[in-house]
Amino acid sequence: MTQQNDIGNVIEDQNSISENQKIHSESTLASDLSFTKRRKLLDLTALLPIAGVLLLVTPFVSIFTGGDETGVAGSAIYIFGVWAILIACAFVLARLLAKQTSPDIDPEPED
Amino acid sequence: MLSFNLLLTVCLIYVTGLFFVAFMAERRAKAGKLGFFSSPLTYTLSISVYCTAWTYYGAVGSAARNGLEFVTIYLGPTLVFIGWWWILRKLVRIGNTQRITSIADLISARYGKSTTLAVIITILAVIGSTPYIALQLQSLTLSFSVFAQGVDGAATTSSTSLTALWAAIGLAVFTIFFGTRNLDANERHHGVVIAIALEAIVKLVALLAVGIFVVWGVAEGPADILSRIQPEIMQTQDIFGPRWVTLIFLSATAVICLPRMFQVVVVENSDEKHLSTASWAFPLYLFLMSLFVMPIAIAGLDILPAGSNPDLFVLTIPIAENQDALAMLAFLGGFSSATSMVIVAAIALSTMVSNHIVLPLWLWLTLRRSPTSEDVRTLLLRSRRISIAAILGLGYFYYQFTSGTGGLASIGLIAFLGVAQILPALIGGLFWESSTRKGAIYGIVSGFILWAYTLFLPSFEGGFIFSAEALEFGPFGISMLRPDALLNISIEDPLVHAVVWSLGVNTALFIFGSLTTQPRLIERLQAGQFIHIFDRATPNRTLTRQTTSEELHILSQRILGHEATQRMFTEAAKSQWKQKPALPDPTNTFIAELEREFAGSVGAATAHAMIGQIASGEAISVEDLIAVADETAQIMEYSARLKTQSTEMEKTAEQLRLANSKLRELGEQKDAFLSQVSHELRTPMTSIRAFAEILRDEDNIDQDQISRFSSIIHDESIRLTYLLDEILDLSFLEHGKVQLKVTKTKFSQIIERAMNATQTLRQQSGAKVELSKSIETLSLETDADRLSQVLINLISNAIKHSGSQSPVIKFSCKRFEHTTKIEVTDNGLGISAENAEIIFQKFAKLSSEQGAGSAGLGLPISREIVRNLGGKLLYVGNNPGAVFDIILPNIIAASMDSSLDLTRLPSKTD
Repeated sequence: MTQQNDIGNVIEDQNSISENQKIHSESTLASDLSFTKRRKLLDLTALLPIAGVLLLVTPFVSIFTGGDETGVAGSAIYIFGVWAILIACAFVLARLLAKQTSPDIDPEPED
Repeated sequence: MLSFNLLLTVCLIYVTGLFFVAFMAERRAKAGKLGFFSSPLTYTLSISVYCTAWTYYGAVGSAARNGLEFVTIYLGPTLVFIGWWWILRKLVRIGNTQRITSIADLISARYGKSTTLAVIITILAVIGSTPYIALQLQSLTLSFSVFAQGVDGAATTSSTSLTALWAAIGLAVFTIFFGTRNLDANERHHGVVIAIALEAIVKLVALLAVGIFVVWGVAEGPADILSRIQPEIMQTQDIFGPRWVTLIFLSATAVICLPRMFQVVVVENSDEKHLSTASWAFPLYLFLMSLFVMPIAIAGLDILPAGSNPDLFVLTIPIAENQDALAMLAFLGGFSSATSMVIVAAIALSTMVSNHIVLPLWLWLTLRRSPTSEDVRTLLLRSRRISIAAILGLGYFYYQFTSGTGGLASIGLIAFLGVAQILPALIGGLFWESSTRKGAIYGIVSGFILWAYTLFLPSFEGGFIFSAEALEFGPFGISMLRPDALLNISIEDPLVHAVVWSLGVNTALFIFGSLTTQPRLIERLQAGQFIHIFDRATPNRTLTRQTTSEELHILSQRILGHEATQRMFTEAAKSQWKQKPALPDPTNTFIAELEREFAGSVGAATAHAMIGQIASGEAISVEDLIAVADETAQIMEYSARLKTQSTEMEKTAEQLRLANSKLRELGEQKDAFLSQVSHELRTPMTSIRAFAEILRDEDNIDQDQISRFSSIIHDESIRLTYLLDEILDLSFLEHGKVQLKVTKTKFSQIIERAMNATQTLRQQSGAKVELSKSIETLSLETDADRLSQVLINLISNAIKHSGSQSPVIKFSCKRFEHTTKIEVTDNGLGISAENAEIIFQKFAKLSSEQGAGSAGLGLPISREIVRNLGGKLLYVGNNPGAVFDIILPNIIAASMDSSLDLTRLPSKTD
């Protein structure tokens, strides 16, 4: 529920920003762009666990692990593979977010 | 083969090392040089207290029995940490701003600082965690016994139980030493955190080392391992199912709700940013921990004799391969897993027990006794130490009680589900504004009972409360109540059955209770602060409470101790711009600040209750109520604030207008006065000039005329001087700059003076003055000259303006306790109502007035004189002639207290 609201807000924000871009000066434009970029990063951060749940805790798992020819090794490779990708994504997102958080932008985005 | 003694020695060295590292960390923390110790990496490593001996040894066992199922225990936390943006971030922020000390404290603070909830969750946590601690002790002794068996098989039983005892004592000492250095549970336990971070590294390195050894030492690479897969593991290839989902859900819940996890993730968190590092680093740690579990299980099943305990493969494979150093490392890894869990769990539980059970009880028992400085602090530290020992003792006895029954093996998941009962209330508390305390209590209690009924008690396999028959056929043979199939709904897996029932009923009752009860005011306030924690637009709301700074100071000394109190109060006084020695004002903000500080030590519920004992009038203002409501209400609050501001401005403008009109009135009066003065001065001046011109210009005027004109000029000059004197006099009188010569005088003397002064006037008009008998004996303490001036004025007024042909003026008096009233009446026509209003105004010429010789200043001057004498001159009406009252104080100084207007009385020395 909250997530839908968030996404809705982001879309609104982006609309208003694209309108503002025509009016604003170069520097404002830059900060606006970094703002949208940050918003998108936050959205990705929020979406990552949902992707994780989809891939690991829903019948999706059976599609990749249920077949006769995959065997326990195949299942293990699927699980550990998804796991590793999730960790890598989380790592990249955390690094990008940390980079985005420059001192002049408030480190704590609104919820 | 390693000898048992060598093992013990290494263990002791390891523990000494831990003590040393913890001690160093505490010392560096004190010096403020934390550096690496407070880095995100340390934070992440400390979270790995999640990996207990149960997961360290048990994961391989689980893999050997159930294949891939073991990863669920790691996947749940992975998902929670990758999704830190959703829940953990909010929890950590709340934990830091509200100074939360434990999971029980969090729930109780959210639901209106409820002590009941705190007690319930504490009990639940202790019941759930004690078996878990016992499990750690068991794994410790088991791993010891692996080595002991090699030395001599006979000694095992007695020595293992002894090992467990010594382990419990050692852990208690460590925990008490480093876990209760500070009272403030919200402050970091740097020593403990560093020690468990170090242990985290040891267990990871140990498991990785064993895994690498197994894959490349025992087998010949990953392909070889795969070829050795046993058929029984192969059978578990379709991993997805209810149990899979349930286990991931339970482990995800556990990483938030387990008291020890909450302790390291939320309470020990020193910087919110560490969380974003932990979001990938902790899943990575778990990933590495589980990477070699399958290979170890496969290799163990392959090379070790059939019937070996798969739970100990991590130890037994290196021993079987004669790798002493590796076996030692593996042993230390298991030792680290067990000890770090026990230490943190004991700290978390002791905080909960002392804050939510011991302290409220003690406060209740000692309500009437006089408090002493630091008594709460001492009590808390003591009770925390005792509860640590008690909790470990409980774990030890639990281990003794159940060892051999095998009931312990499944206790990990049982504990997970136990604490998972907090989850609905927790999630509701973070995101659902309508959730209430009653709903939380209903949910948690019902879930707790169902958990105990369907999972915890059956885990004793008939050894505790439930008999074996009751377990199989239901209590008293009622099959509907069978613990593994409530209402005859059979769910194959008892764990899934218990999860569905306990959490299902828990959530349902939580929602039902929340929807059917009204939150109290403080619940709404807390709900707003928790749910909208990231909403910066909402200002920090405080309760409105009244108390004194002294009482707050005493209470603060009891809880925080002398030093911290001194620091806090000095800072608060400084921020209120007080001079240094003063106590700060007990503002609502300051009280709220103190309460938060107390909450960091004793928990939100107790802190609130203790402040409640000394503060009165706890209320939430209308503004606060608006603020805790939704956004629309926030806009309303904004407009309300604007409205208040504009009302205030209107008020100020109105005052300004009033002042302005008053000034204008005064200006007009001044103008009128000036024009009257100049008019009054002009008349005599004109005649003086006219006659002076005649004297100068006319040559043929006789001597008579000269002397007549000269005397007119003289008279007019006198009149002018007199007028100017009067104006000057009035001005002095009005500004209270008159020197009074107060003496005790008989009234008869004063009236005689007035009679003499008006003799000519009286003789001309034939006026009579009559004195009453009482007035002849009257004597006054006053300025005789000034009072006679008033009398002269009144007498001459009566003669000139009363309209009587033969005026009679009567004086009488009445003496009261503090004042004396002198009544002056004449037998004239009285003063008409319209004239009565203006007789005391300056230059007031009455319309009927004919006579000259008066500028109209007589009565105003008289009134000012009487006022200066501390009294009043009043025109009281016609009877039928005019009646004036002179009210004078009996003693000028003594009458200061009377109701007379004496504010402008000049001092005698002036």
